[in-house]
Amino acid sequence: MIYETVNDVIQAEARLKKAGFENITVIAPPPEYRSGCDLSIEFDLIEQVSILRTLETNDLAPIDILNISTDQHRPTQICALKDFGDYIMVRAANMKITCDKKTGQIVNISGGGCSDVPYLAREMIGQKITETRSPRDIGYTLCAYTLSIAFEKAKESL
Amino acid sequence: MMTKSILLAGTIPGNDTSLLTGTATFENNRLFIGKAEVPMNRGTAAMIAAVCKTVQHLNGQMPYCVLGNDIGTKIGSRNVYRYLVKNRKNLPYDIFGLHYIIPDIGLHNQVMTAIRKIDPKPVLVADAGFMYVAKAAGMAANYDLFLPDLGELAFLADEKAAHPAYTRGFLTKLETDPQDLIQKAVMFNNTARNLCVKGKTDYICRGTEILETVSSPAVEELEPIGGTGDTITGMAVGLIGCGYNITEACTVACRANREAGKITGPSPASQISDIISNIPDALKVQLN
Repeated sequence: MIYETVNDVIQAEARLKKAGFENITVIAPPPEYRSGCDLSIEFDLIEQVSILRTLETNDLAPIDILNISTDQHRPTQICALKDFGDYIMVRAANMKITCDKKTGQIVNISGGGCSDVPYLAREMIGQKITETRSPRDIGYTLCAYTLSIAFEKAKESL
Repeated sequence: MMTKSILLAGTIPGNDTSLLTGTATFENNRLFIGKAEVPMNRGTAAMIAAVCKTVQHLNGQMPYCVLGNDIGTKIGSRNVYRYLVKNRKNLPYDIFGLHYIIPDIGLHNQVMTAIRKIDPKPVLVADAGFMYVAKAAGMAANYDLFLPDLGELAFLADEKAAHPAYTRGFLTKLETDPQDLIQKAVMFNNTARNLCVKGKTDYICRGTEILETVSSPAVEELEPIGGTGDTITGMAVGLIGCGYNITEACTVACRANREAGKITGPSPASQISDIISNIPDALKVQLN
């Protein structure tokens, strides 16, 4: 399923997972649909009717649906942790988040190149990681999506 | 010393969609574009602040800036791309420093077409989103300098990844084998003519040849601090503007960034504005 923006994909993915569709995956769209910062959703054909019904009910219908057989890239899920004594830094691809181990406060966000990274840093630094929303809920781009992977790992690690 | 004119373009995290243009000034450690104060957060603002500190220190020309307000909705990014295309005849700058932006291959390629018509051709430096989109568009070789960190180098080395989020299988090589990634990035034409790889050791390269490495002073706490890569980019642009060649500029910028960190004595919770204020003292140490 092709969408206009990464944020639309993030919302559609969250809605489908909430509705119990576990076999969906976010992947890179085919090259002809790429602008440089894009995501799309892969799903089983057998679930198309119910998935579309769920999305249309929530005003999240895709702009296109393609039947593709080639393997598309998936966003990296690999994280690396670095211990700084009182702080822990988690990296996912090009994004890093650092938290105070004792308080759980987010003290730094670094990396990335899309426009919402400085915005996310402004909104999240100083917040407790257990109490603040995920970057995927307030960001718009693939950098926000990648930061959310590091965010979840940091939350688990504290 | 012959100083050159600099244009800096990118986005800052503002909620409205206006475009901010004007010459940067720096007063009492506060950054202004025209009359508007810009918070020295990470990203483009940190890069601009580092350019300003560098050219002030070396009596160079303050940069002209084109900034779109963008929190990720792409409207501010589109405004920046379109401004560069529309105003190409009024942008006779020697150096273009292109930074945070939401990648858009179509608009990027329009910018490249516009810049190619500028005579003489400016030095093109890209980092962050502009570097991502240049690579995704297959136009990296049109640039003079990219400044990736190790994760972004892995992206440049992956011929199929359209964004760092899709980088495959190279992450384990980041610390141990950056040379291999540099070679792959060059082999697939996915990098600029010069590369400044920012990491535990910084690598300054032309093509696959590593011309300089910088690993001291070592300040581990700089890694988590958002904006420490942006200040290297800013200092490098400022130094090129003050007559240094690209290799010299990158080498001094990497050393001075570490030096500024050493002077600051940061913790992982420090913010980039603490480092920026020490750039002049760091440049003094590194240039003497």
